[in-house]
Amino acid sequence: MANMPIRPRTKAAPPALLRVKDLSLSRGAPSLRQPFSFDGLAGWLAVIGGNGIGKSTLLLSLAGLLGEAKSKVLIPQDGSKGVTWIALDQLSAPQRARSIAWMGQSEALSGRWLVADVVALGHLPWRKTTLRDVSGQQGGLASVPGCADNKLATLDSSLAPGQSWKAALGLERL
Amino acid sequence: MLGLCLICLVLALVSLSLGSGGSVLSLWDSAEQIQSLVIEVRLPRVLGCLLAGALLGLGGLLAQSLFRNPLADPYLLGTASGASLAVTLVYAAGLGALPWPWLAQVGTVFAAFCGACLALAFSLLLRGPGTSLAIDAHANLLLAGIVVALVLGALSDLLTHLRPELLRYRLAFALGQTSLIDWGAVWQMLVGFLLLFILARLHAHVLDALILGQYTAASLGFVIEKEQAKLVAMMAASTALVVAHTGLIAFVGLLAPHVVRPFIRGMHKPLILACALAGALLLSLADLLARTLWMPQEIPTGLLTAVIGGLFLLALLKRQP
Repeated sequence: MANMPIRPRTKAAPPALLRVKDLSLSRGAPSLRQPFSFDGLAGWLAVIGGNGIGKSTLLLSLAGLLGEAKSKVLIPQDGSKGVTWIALDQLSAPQRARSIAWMGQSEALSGRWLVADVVALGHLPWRKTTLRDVSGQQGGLASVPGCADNKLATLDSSLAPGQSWKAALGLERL
Repeated sequence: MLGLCLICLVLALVSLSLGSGGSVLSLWDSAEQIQSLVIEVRLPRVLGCLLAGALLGLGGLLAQSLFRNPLADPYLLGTASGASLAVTLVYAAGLGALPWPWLAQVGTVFAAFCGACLALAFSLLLRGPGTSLAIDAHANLLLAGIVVALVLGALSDLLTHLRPELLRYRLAFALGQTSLIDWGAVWQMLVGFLLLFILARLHAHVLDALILGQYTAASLGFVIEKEQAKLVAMMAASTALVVAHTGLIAFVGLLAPHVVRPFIRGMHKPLILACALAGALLLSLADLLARTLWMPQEIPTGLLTAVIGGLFLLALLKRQP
Protein backbone atom coordinates (compact mmCIF):
# COMPACT_ATOMS: atom_id res chain seq x y z
CA MET A 1 0.00 0.00 0.00
CA ALA A 2 2.96 2.29 0.62
CA ASN A 3 3.17 5.36 -1.64
CA MET A 4 0.54 4.08 -4.07
CA PRO A 5 -1.93 6.57 -5.59
CA ILE A 6 -5.45 5.28 -5.17
CA ARG A 7 -7.50 5.87 -8.30
CA PRO A 8 -11.09 5.00 -9.03
CA ARG A 9 -11.85 3.37 -12.38
CA THR A 10 -12.49 6.44 -14.52
CA LYS A 11 -11.13 7.38 -17.92
CA ALA A 12 -9.70 10.79 -17.01
CA ALA A 13 -7.94 11.08 -13.66
CA PRO A 14 -10.04 13.32 -11.39
CA PRO A 15 -8.37 15.88 -9.12
CA ALA A 16 -7.02 14.84 -5.74
CA LEU A 17 -9.25 15.77 -2.79
CA LEU A 18 -6.99 14.45 -0.08
CA ARG A 19 -3.27 13.91 0.27
CA VAL A 20 -1.75 11.63 2.86
CA LYS A 21 1.95 11.98 3.67
CA ASP A 22 3.89 9.49 5.77
CA LEU A 23 0.91 8.44 7.83
CA SER A 24 1.33 5.44 10.09
CA LEU A 25 -1.42 4.03 12.27
CA SER A 26 -1.10 2.87 15.85
CA ARG A 27 -3.50 -0.03 15.22
CA GLY A 28 -4.30 -2.35 12.37
CA ALA A 29 -2.34 -4.38 9.84
CA PRO A 30 1.50 -4.21 9.88
CA SER A 31 1.50 -2.47 6.48
CA LEU A 32 -0.55 0.38 7.98
CA ARG A 33 1.88 0.74 10.88
CA GLN A 34 4.65 1.66 8.44
CA PRO A 35 4.58 5.22 6.99
CA PHE A 36 2.53 5.32 3.79
CA SER A 37 1.39 8.05 1.43
CA PHE A 38 -1.33 8.36 -1.19
CA ASP A 39 -3.61 10.79 -2.97
CA GLY A 40 -7.35 10.28 -2.55
CA LEU A 41 -9.00 11.23 -5.85
CA ALA A 42 -12.52 12.54 -6.44
CA GLY A 43 -15.15 9.83 -6.77
CA TRP A 44 -16.16 6.83 -4.73
CA LEU A 45 -13.48 4.99 -2.84
CA ALA A 46 -14.02 1.86 -0.79
CA VAL A 47 -11.75 0.56 1.92
CA ILE A 48 -12.08 -3.18 2.31
CA GLY A 49 -10.37 -5.69 4.55
CA GLY A 50 -10.87 -8.18 7.35
CA ASN A 51 -11.78 -7.52 10.95
CA GLY A 52 -9.19 -5.56 12.91
CA ILE A 53 -7.12 -4.69 9.88
CA GLY A 54 -7.49 -0.96 10.56
CA LYS A 55 -10.26 0.26 8.22
CA SER A 56 -12.02 2.37 10.83
CA THR A 57 -8.74 3.72 12.23
CA LEU A 58 -7.66 4.70 8.72
CA LEU A 59 -10.92 6.54 8.03
CA LEU A 60 -10.81 8.28 11.43
CA SER A 61 -7.27 9.38 10.63
CA LEU A 62 -8.27 10.68 7.20
CA ALA A 63 -11.08 12.70 8.81
CA GLY A 64 -8.61 14.27 11.23
CA LEU A 65 -10.31 12.76 14.27
CA LEU A 66 -7.20 11.05 15.61
CA GLY A 67 -5.03 13.84 16.97
CA GLU A 68 -1.61 12.52 16.01
CA ALA A 69 -2.65 11.89 12.38
CA LYS A 70 -3.89 15.42 11.68
CA SER A 71 -0.51 16.72 10.52
CA LYS A 72 -0.16 13.89 8.00
CA VAL A 73 -3.42 14.51 6.14
CA LEU A 74 -3.62 17.46 3.76
CA ILE A 75 -6.53 18.98 1.89
CA PRO A 76 -6.48 21.44 -1.02
CA GLN A 77 -7.24 25.10 -0.41
CA ASP A 78 -7.96 27.54 -3.24
CA GLY A 79 -5.96 30.75 -2.87
CA SER A 80 -4.59 33.60 -4.94
CA LYS A 81 -1.60 31.45 -5.88
CA GLY A 82 -3.72 28.53 -7.01
CA VAL A 83 -4.28 25.38 -5.02
CA THR A 84 -2.13 24.90 -1.93
CA TRP A 85 -2.15 21.89 0.38
CA ILE A 86 -2.83 22.48 4.04
CA ALA A 87 -2.53 20.00 6.92
CA LEU A 88 -5.67 19.35 8.94
CA ASP A 89 -3.98 20.40 12.20
CA GLN A 90 -3.63 23.91 10.78
CA LEU A 91 -7.40 24.26 10.54
CA SER A 92 -9.75 25.12 13.38
CA ALA A 93 -12.31 22.48 14.34
CA PRO A 94 -15.17 24.22 12.44
CA GLN A 95 -12.93 24.77 9.39
CA ARG A 96 -12.02 21.08 9.38
CA ALA A 97 -15.70 20.16 9.77
CA ARG A 98 -16.59 22.29 6.74
CA SER A 99 -13.97 20.45 4.68
CA ILE A 100 -14.40 16.81 5.69
CA ALA A 101 -17.53 14.97 6.78
CA TRP A 102 -17.46 11.72 8.72
CA MET A 103 -20.22 9.33 9.68
CA GLY A 104 -19.72 6.51 12.16
CA GLN A 105 -20.95 2.96 11.87
CA SER A 106 -23.29 2.99 14.85
CA GLU A 107 -24.85 6.38 15.46
CA ALA A 108 -27.64 5.75 17.95
CA LEU A 109 -30.49 7.56 16.22
CA SER A 110 -33.53 7.84 18.44
CA GLY A 111 -36.85 7.30 16.72
CA ARG A 112 -38.32 10.35 18.49
CA TRP A 113 -35.91 12.83 16.95
CA LEU A 114 -37.25 15.11 14.26
CA VAL A 115 -35.74 14.46 10.84
CA ALA A 116 -35.31 18.23 10.55
CA ASP A 117 -33.23 18.32 13.77
CA VAL A 118 -30.94 15.53 12.59
CA VAL A 119 -30.44 17.18 9.21
CA ALA A 120 -29.86 20.56 10.90
CA LEU A 121 -27.01 19.03 12.90
CA GLY A 122 -25.16 18.48 9.65
CA HIS A 123 -25.18 22.21 9.10
CA LEU A 124 -23.64 23.05 12.47
CA PRO A 125 -20.16 23.74 11.03
CA TRP A 126 -21.79 26.64 9.17
CA ARG A 127 -23.63 27.58 12.38
CA LYS A 128 -26.89 27.17 10.51
CA THR A 129 -29.18 25.34 12.83
CA THR A 130 -32.70 26.56 12.24
CA LEU A 131 -35.29 24.78 10.19
CA ARG A 132 -35.37 27.66 7.72
CA ASP A 133 -31.61 27.32 7.22
CA VAL A 134 -31.70 23.67 6.30
CA SER A 135 -35.03 23.20 4.55
CA GLY A 136 -34.89 23.45 0.81
CA GLN A 137 -31.11 23.39 0.57
CA GLN A 138 -29.15 20.71 -1.16
CA GLY A 139 -28.42 18.11 1.51
CA GLY A 140 -31.20 19.64 3.58
CA LEU A 141 -34.64 18.47 4.60
CA ALA A 142 -35.85 18.38 0.99
CA SER A 143 -33.33 15.65 0.24
CA VAL A 144 -34.97 13.23 2.68
CA PRO A 145 -37.84 11.43 0.94
CA GLY A 146 -41.25 12.24 2.34
CA CYS A 147 -39.98 14.95 4.68
CA ALA A 148 -39.73 18.00 2.45
CA ASP A 149 -43.25 19.07 3.42
CA ASN A 150 -43.37 17.54 6.87
CA LYS A 151 -41.26 19.53 9.29
CA LEU A 152 -42.49 17.54 12.29
CA ALA A 153 -41.59 14.11 10.85
CA THR A 154 -39.76 11.93 13.35
CA LEU A 155 -37.27 9.27 12.39
CA ASP A 156 -39.46 6.33 13.40
CA SER A 157 -42.90 7.64 12.42
CA SER A 158 -42.03 8.83 8.95
CA LEU A 159 -39.03 6.97 7.69
CA ALA A 160 -38.24 3.43 6.74
CA PRO A 161 -34.98 2.17 8.28
CA GLY A 162 -33.03 2.97 5.12
CA GLN A 163 -34.42 6.47 5.08
CA SER A 164 -33.19 7.08 8.63
CA TRP A 165 -29.73 6.64 7.25
CA LYS A 166 -30.60 9.05 4.47
CA ALA A 167 -31.36 11.60 7.20
CA ALA A 168 -28.06 10.74 8.83
CA LEU A 169 -26.41 11.27 5.48
CA GLY A 170 -28.06 14.69 5.49
CA LEU A 171 -26.43 15.08 8.88
CA GLU A 172 -23.08 14.58 7.22
CA ARG A 173 -23.96 16.72 4.20
CA LEU A 174 -23.13 14.11 1.60
CA MET B 1 -44.85 21.01 28.36
CA LEU B 2 -47.88 23.14 29.19
CA GLY B 3 -49.33 20.19 31.09
CA LEU B 4 -46.17 19.89 33.20
CA CYS B 5 -46.32 23.63 33.97
CA LEU B 6 -49.96 23.34 35.03
CA ILE B 7 -49.32 20.30 37.24
CA CYS B 8 -46.39 22.10 38.88
CA LEU B 9 -48.61 25.13 39.53
CA VAL B 10 -51.43 23.05 41.02
CA LEU B 11 -48.96 21.12 43.16
CA ALA B 12 -47.39 24.35 44.38
CA LEU B 13 -50.80 25.76 45.34
CA VAL B 14 -51.73 22.56 47.19
CA SER B 15 -48.36 22.59 48.98
CA LEU B 16 -48.87 26.22 49.94
CA SER B 17 -52.26 25.59 51.46
CA LEU B 18 -51.45 22.32 53.17
CA GLY B 19 -49.31 22.28 56.31
CA SER B 20 -47.37 19.42 57.83
CA GLY B 21 -49.59 19.57 60.89
CA GLY B 22 -52.66 19.03 58.78
CA SER B 23 -53.66 22.69 58.77
CA VAL B 24 -55.31 23.92 55.58
CA LEU B 25 -55.14 27.59 54.69
CA SER B 26 -58.21 29.16 53.23
CA LEU B 27 -59.17 32.52 51.80
CA TRP B 28 -60.89 33.36 55.07
CA ASP B 29 -57.75 33.20 57.15
CA SER B 30 -56.43 36.45 58.52
CA ALA B 31 -53.75 38.39 56.67
CA GLU B 32 -51.33 37.98 59.58
CA GLN B 33 -51.65 34.21 59.45
CA ILE B 34 -51.01 34.19 55.73
CA GLN B 35 -48.12 36.61 56.16
CA SER B 36 -46.36 34.57 58.80
CA LEU B 37 -47.08 31.09 57.54
CA VAL B 38 -47.10 31.38 53.80
CA ILE B 39 -44.58 34.11 53.09
CA GLU B 40 -42.00 33.13 55.68
CA VAL B 41 -42.31 29.33 55.82
CA ARG B 42 -44.28 27.62 53.08
CA LEU B 43 -43.58 29.81 50.05
CA PRO B 44 -39.76 29.57 50.24
CA ARG B 45 -40.05 25.83 50.79
CA VAL B 46 -42.40 25.33 47.84
CA LEU B 47 -40.33 27.53 45.53
CA GLY B 48 -37.13 25.93 46.82
CA CYS B 49 -38.45 22.45 46.04
CA LEU B 50 -39.42 23.53 42.53
CA LEU B 51 -36.00 25.07 41.92
CA ALA B 52 -34.00 22.23 43.51
CA GLY B 53 -35.98 19.69 41.47
CA ALA B 54 -35.47 21.71 38.30
CA LEU B 55 -31.72 21.90 38.95
CA LEU B 56 -31.55 18.15 39.57
CA GLY B 57 -33.59 17.43 36.41
CA LEU B 58 -31.27 19.65 34.40
CA GLY B 59 -28.19 18.03 35.97
CA GLY B 60 -29.60 14.57 35.23
CA LEU B 61 -30.11 15.37 31.56
CA LEU B 62 -26.60 16.80 31.31
CA ALA B 63 -25.13 13.69 32.97
CA GLN B 64 -27.04 11.24 30.77
CA SER B 65 -26.20 13.04 27.55
CA LEU B 66 -22.58 13.68 28.48
CA PHE B 67 -21.90 10.07 29.44
CA ARG B 68 -24.32 8.62 26.85
CA ASN B 69 -25.71 6.51 29.64
CA PRO B 70 -29.40 6.51 30.62
CA LEU B 71 -28.47 5.42 34.14
CA ALA B 72 -26.13 8.34 34.79
CA ASP B 73 -27.21 10.82 37.43
CA PRO B 74 -25.88 14.22 38.50
CA TYR B 75 -24.30 12.77 41.67
CA LEU B 76 -21.69 10.99 39.59
CA LEU B 77 -18.09 12.11 39.94
CA GLY B 78 -18.29 12.20 43.74
CA THR B 79 -19.94 15.60 44.13
CA ALA B 80 -22.45 14.36 46.70
CA SER B 81 -19.81 12.62 48.82
CA GLY B 82 -17.60 15.71 48.65
CA ALA B 83 -20.42 17.93 49.87
CA SER B 84 -21.28 15.43 52.61
CA LEU B 85 -17.68 15.31 53.88
CA ALA B 86 -17.42 19.10 53.83
CA VAL B 87 -20.60 19.46 55.88
CA THR B 88 -19.36 16.84 58.37
CA LEU B 89 -16.07 18.74 58.68
CA VAL B 90 -17.92 21.99 59.29
CA TYR B 91 -19.89 20.46 62.14
CA ALA B 92 -16.75 18.76 63.49
CA ALA B 93 -15.13 22.19 63.63
CA GLY B 94 -18.03 23.40 65.74
CA LEU B 95 -19.54 25.79 63.19
CA GLY B 96 -22.94 24.20 63.62
CA ALA B 97 -23.05 25.25 67.28
CA LEU B 98 -22.33 28.93 66.63
CA PRO B 99 -24.65 31.40 68.37
CA TRP B 100 -25.47 32.96 64.98
CA PRO B 101 -27.58 30.45 63.04
CA TRP B 102 -27.33 32.42 59.79
CA LEU B 103 -23.54 32.18 59.88
CA ALA B 104 -23.75 28.45 60.51
CA GLN B 105 -26.10 28.06 57.55
CA VAL B 106 -24.02 30.17 55.18
CA GLY B 107 -20.91 28.27 56.29
CA THR B 108 -22.57 24.91 55.73
CA VAL B 109 -23.88 25.85 52.29
CA PHE B 110 -20.54 27.28 51.24
CA ALA B 111 -18.69 24.22 52.57
CA ALA B 112 -21.03 21.84 50.72
CA PHE B 113 -20.51 23.77 47.50
CA CYS B 114 -16.72 23.76 47.92
CA GLY B 115 -16.76 20.05 48.84
CA ALA B 116 -18.70 19.18 45.69
CA CYS B 117 -16.36 21.23 43.51
CA LEU B 118 -13.24 19.72 45.13
CA ALA B 119 -14.58 16.19 44.64
CA LEU B 120 -15.17 16.99 40.97
CA ALA B 121 -11.62 18.33 40.66
CA PHE B 122 -10.26 15.12 42.23
CA SER B 123 -12.27 12.99 39.81
CA LEU B 124 -10.96 14.96 36.84
CA LEU B 125 -7.38 14.70 38.12
CA LEU B 126 -7.65 10.98 38.81
CA ARG B 127 -9.08 10.03 35.42
CA GLY B 128 -5.53 10.00 34.11
CA PRO B 129 -3.94 11.27 30.93
CA GLY B 130 -5.23 10.64 27.45
CA THR B 131 -7.47 12.33 24.94
CA SER B 132 -11.11 12.55 25.86
CA LEU B 133 -11.98 11.18 22.40
CA ALA B 134 -10.71 7.78 23.44
CA ILE B 135 -13.54 5.29 23.79
CA ASP B 136 -12.59 4.48 27.40
CA ALA B 137 -12.12 8.09 28.52
CA HIS B 138 -15.64 8.27 29.92
CA ALA B 139 -15.20 4.97 31.68
CA ASN B 140 -12.02 6.34 33.29
CA LEU B 141 -13.85 9.44 34.47
CA LEU B 142 -16.77 7.42 35.83
CA LEU B 143 -14.41 5.05 37.65
CA ALA B 144 -12.49 8.01 39.06
CA GLY B 145 -15.81 9.44 40.27
CA ILE B 146 -16.74 6.17 41.95
CA VAL B 147 -13.33 5.98 43.67
CA VAL B 148 -13.55 9.59 44.86
CA ALA B 149 -17.10 8.99 46.15
CA LEU B 150 -16.00 5.88 48.04
CA VAL B 151 -12.91 7.49 49.57
CA LEU B 152 -14.70 10.68 50.60
CA GLY B 153 -17.61 8.64 51.96
CA ALA B 154 -15.19 6.55 53.98
CA LEU B 155 -13.57 9.71 55.37
CA SER B 156 -16.97 10.98 56.46
CA ASP B 157 -17.64 7.61 58.11
CA LEU B 158 -14.31 7.76 59.89
CA LEU B 159 -15.01 11.25 61.16
CA THR B 160 -18.44 10.18 62.39
CA HIS B 161 -16.93 7.11 64.04
CA LEU B 162 -14.41 9.27 65.91
CA ARG B 163 -17.00 11.92 66.80
CA PRO B 164 -20.35 10.12 67.27
CA GLU B 165 -22.11 13.40 68.08
CA LEU B 166 -21.77 14.30 64.38
CA LEU B 167 -24.02 11.43 63.39
CA ARG B 168 -27.25 13.37 63.67
CA TYR B 169 -26.01 16.22 61.42
CA ARG B 170 -24.68 13.76 58.90
CA LEU B 171 -27.86 11.74 58.97
CA ALA B 172 -29.98 14.82 58.33
CA PHE B 173 -27.78 15.68 55.36
CA ALA B 174 -27.72 12.14 53.99
CA LEU B 175 -31.49 11.74 54.18
CA GLY B 176 -32.23 14.93 52.26
CA GLN B 177 -34.26 17.70 53.90
CA THR B 178 -36.34 20.35 52.22
CA SER B 179 -37.64 21.80 55.48
CA LEU B 180 -34.65 24.09 55.95
CA ILE B 181 -35.00 25.96 52.65
CA ASP B 182 -35.34 29.67 53.31
CA TRP B 183 -35.51 32.76 51.10
CA GLY B 184 -31.72 32.97 50.88
CA ALA B 185 -31.56 29.46 49.48
CA VAL B 186 -34.39 30.25 47.05
CA TRP B 187 -32.58 33.29 45.63
CA GLN B 188 -29.30 31.40 45.29
CA MET B 189 -30.97 28.49 43.52
CA LEU B 190 -33.04 30.83 41.32
CA VAL B 191 -29.98 32.71 40.07
CA GLY B 192 -28.09 29.44 39.62
CA PHE B 193 -30.96 27.79 37.76
CA LEU B 194 -31.49 30.72 35.39
CA LEU B 195 -27.78 30.84 34.54
CA LEU B 196 -27.49 27.09 34.07
CA PHE B 197 -30.71 26.89 32.06
CA ILE B 198 -29.52 29.58 29.63
CA LEU B 199 -26.11 27.90 29.35
CA ALA B 200 -27.72 24.51 28.76
CA ARG B 201 -29.94 25.94 26.01
CA LEU B 202 -26.89 27.52 24.39
CA HIS B 203 -25.17 24.12 24.50
CA ALA B 204 -28.15 22.11 23.26
CA HIS B 205 -26.48 21.40 19.91
CA VAL B 206 -23.35 20.17 21.69
CA LEU B 207 -25.51 17.71 23.64
CA ASP B 208 -27.24 16.67 20.40
CA ALA B 209 -23.90 16.01 18.77
CA LEU B 210 -22.40 14.24 21.81
CA ILE B 211 -25.28 11.80 22.03
CA LEU B 212 -24.41 10.67 18.50
CA GLY B 213 -20.91 9.81 19.66
CA GLN B 214 -17.75 11.76 20.33
CA TYR B 215 -16.23 11.23 16.90
CA THR B 216 -19.41 12.44 15.22
CA ALA B 217 -19.46 15.46 17.53
CA ALA B 218 -15.82 16.22 16.71
CA SER B 219 -16.53 15.82 13.00
CA LEU B 220 -19.26 18.47 13.35
CA GLY B 221 -16.68 21.03 14.42
CA PHE B 222 -16.80 20.89 18.21
CA VAL B 223 -13.63 20.89 20.30
CA ILE B 224 -14.77 17.99 22.42
CA GLU B 225 -12.44 18.45 25.41
CA LYS B 226 -13.53 22.08 25.84
CA GLU B 227 -17.23 21.32 25.46
CA GLN B 228 -17.05 18.37 27.85
CA ALA B 229 -15.29 20.49 30.48
CA LYS B 230 -18.05 23.10 30.26
CA LEU B 231 -20.79 20.48 30.54
CA VAL B 232 -19.11 18.75 33.51
CA ALA B 233 -18.80 22.12 35.28
CA MET B 234 -22.49 22.85 34.63
CA MET B 235 -23.49 19.43 35.95
CA ALA B 236 -21.38 19.89 39.10
CA ALA B 237 -22.73 23.40 39.70
CA SER B 238 -26.33 22.22 39.48
CA THR B 239 -25.65 19.37 41.93
CA ALA B 240 -23.62 21.47 44.34
CA LEU B 241 -26.31 24.15 44.52
CA VAL B 242 -28.98 21.62 45.44
CA VAL B 243 -26.90 19.45 47.77
CA ALA B 244 -25.72 22.52 49.66
CA HIS B 245 -29.29 23.48 50.55
CA THR B 246 -31.16 20.19 50.80
CA GLY B 247 -28.64 17.41 51.36
CA LEU B 248 -28.80 14.30 49.23
CA ILE B 249 -32.02 14.04 47.24
CA ALA B 250 -31.81 10.75 45.42
CA PHE B 251 -33.25 9.67 42.07
CA VAL B 252 -34.82 12.97 40.92
CA GLY B 253 -31.95 13.73 38.53
CA LEU B 254 -31.90 10.18 37.24
CA LEU B 255 -35.64 9.92 36.83
CA ALA B 256 -36.65 13.30 35.34
CA PRO B 257 -35.23 12.66 31.82
CA HIS B 258 -36.87 9.20 31.74
CA VAL B 259 -40.25 10.67 32.63
CA VAL B 260 -40.31 13.19 29.79
CA ARG B 261 -38.37 11.49 26.98
CA PRO B 262 -41.31 9.37 25.72
CA PHE B 263 -43.41 12.52 25.28
CA ILE B 264 -40.89 14.83 23.64
CA ARG B 265 -40.31 14.90 19.92
CA GLY B 266 -36.98 16.38 19.01
CA MET B 267 -33.51 16.57 20.44
CA HIS B 268 -32.16 18.46 23.45
CA LYS B 269 -33.63 21.94 23.11
CA PRO B 270 -37.16 20.97 24.17
CA LEU B 271 -35.82 18.30 26.54
CA ILE B 272 -33.92 20.81 28.68
CA LEU B 273 -37.06 22.67 29.77
CA ALA B 274 -39.06 19.45 30.02
CA CYS B 275 -36.47 17.80 32.30
CA ALA B 276 -36.32 20.88 34.53
CA LEU B 277 -40.12 20.88 34.83
CA ALA B 278 -40.23 17.12 35.47
CA GLY B 279 -37.56 17.45 38.19
CA ALA B 280 -39.49 20.31 39.78
CA LEU B 281 -42.68 18.26 39.68
CA LEU B 282 -41.09 15.13 41.16
CA LEU B 283 -39.42 16.91 44.07
CA SER B 284 -42.50 19.01 44.83
CA LEU B 285 -44.64 15.89 44.87
CA ALA B 286 -42.15 14.12 47.14
CA ASP B 287 -42.05 17.14 49.47
CA LEU B 288 -45.83 17.28 49.67
CA LEU B 289 -46.01 13.57 50.47
CA ALA B 290 -43.17 13.90 52.98
CA ARG B 291 -45.16 16.54 54.85
CA THR B 292 -48.52 14.85 54.75
CA LEU B 293 -48.11 11.05 54.73
CA TRP B 294 -47.35 10.71 58.47
CA MET B 295 -48.85 13.92 59.79
CA PRO B 296 -47.87 15.55 62.04
CA GLN B 297 -44.48 13.87 61.71
CA GLU B 298 -42.45 14.73 58.63
CA ILE B 299 -40.47 12.16 56.63
CA PRO B 300 -37.12 13.22 55.10
CA THR B 301 -37.81 14.10 51.46
CA GLY B 302 -34.72 12.25 50.23
CA LEU B 303 -36.08 9.00 51.64
CA LEU B 304 -39.33 9.38 49.73
CA THR B 305 -37.65 10.31 46.45
CA ALA B 306 -35.47 7.22 46.78
CA VAL B 307 -38.43 4.90 47.36
CA ILE B 308 -40.84 6.48 44.85
CA GLY B 309 -38.11 7.14 42.29
CA GLY B 310 -36.74 3.63 42.51
CA LEU B 311 -40.16 2.03 42.03
CA PHE B 312 -41.06 4.41 39.24
CA LEU B 313 -37.81 3.75 37.41
CA LEU B 314 -38.36 0.00 37.69
CA ALA B 315 -41.85 0.42 36.25
CA LEU B 316 -40.50 2.50 33.38
CA LEU B 317 -37.81 -0.07 32.62
CA LYS B 318 -40.40 -2.83 32.64
CA ARG B 319 -42.64 -0.93 30.20
CA GLN B 320 -39.85 -0.33 27.73
CA PRO B 321 -39.26 -3.06 25.14
